Amino acid sequence: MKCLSEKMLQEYLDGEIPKIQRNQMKLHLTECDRCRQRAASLGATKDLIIHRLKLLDPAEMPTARVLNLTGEQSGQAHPPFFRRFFGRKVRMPVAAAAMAVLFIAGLSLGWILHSQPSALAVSSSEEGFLPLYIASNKVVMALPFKLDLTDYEPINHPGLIITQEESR
Amino acid sequence: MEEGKRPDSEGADLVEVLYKEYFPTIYRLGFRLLGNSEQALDLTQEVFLKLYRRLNGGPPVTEIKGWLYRTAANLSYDWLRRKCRFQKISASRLERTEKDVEQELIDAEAIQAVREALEQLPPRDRILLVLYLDELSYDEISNATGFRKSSVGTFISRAINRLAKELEKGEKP
Repeated sequence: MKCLSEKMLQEYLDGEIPKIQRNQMKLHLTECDRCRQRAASLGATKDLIIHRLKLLDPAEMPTARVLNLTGEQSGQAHPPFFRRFFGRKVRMPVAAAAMAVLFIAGLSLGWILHSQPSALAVSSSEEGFLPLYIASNKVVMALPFKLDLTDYEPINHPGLIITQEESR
Repeated sequence: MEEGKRPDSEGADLVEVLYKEYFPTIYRLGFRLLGNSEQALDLTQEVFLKLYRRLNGGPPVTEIKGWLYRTAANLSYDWLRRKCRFQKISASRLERTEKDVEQELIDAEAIQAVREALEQLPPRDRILLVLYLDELSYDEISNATGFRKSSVGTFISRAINRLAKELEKGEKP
């Protein structure tokens, strides 16, 4: 039998090896000094760790709380994000209704702002004030067009002489 | 617990019975991992609340003990990850109570040393070690953590070695 891997030694120490294989391993351990030493070292480390970890056990078991099955007080140490943010549980229908109201309010505001400048312009021009224009240098849309030179009358310019014949 | 039982109106009673039976197991697991009685109690409450919801509408639970361990391990994992993110060095904040007896002082220091070493390990290793400490079989650990049974031995061996190294580091002056 080959020398035992750390995984096999761990499984051996934890009693997780089937009986037939276990007997083979036991035989190997009687024959192989190196594996025997490794098994002893691993066993000692395991015992030490278990002993140390047991120090973390509670000194006394507290009285069990009355089980609260409503879920209102559960997970107080780490409440969900929304509960931490808003202070209490957010119900989905309420959240959806709030979103709908915000959406409609946004649309209405947009419509009012959109219609407001023309109304202002009419009323202000009637009262003799200059209308308000909002200008932008942004090209919104450009349509291609065909150049029509049928009614073109050439200008007598020293640098540029175009006749109707040439333009066709 | 009968296999695959799904209570309806008696769900709360059944969960109460299971709560009384498994409270120490889950509380101890939470206390070892989180190092705080209040959080361990919260964890226990959350686990049994999940059990109640599961029994009243979810698929049937076939193995209660394994399910409780699995749920507690998953919840602890989430909590530990958050704790790692927000409180990287929390061991130093452990409350130190005044002890009159010298032996108790030594014990408190030893406990703190173990907790500090344990907190240096990734949450996965901590959970594995705590389950291992409860003398769970590889099958049960695999069921609780979702690791393949064939990998459990390797992971435990690594976790033990890592903790041993951390303890050694802590002991060096």
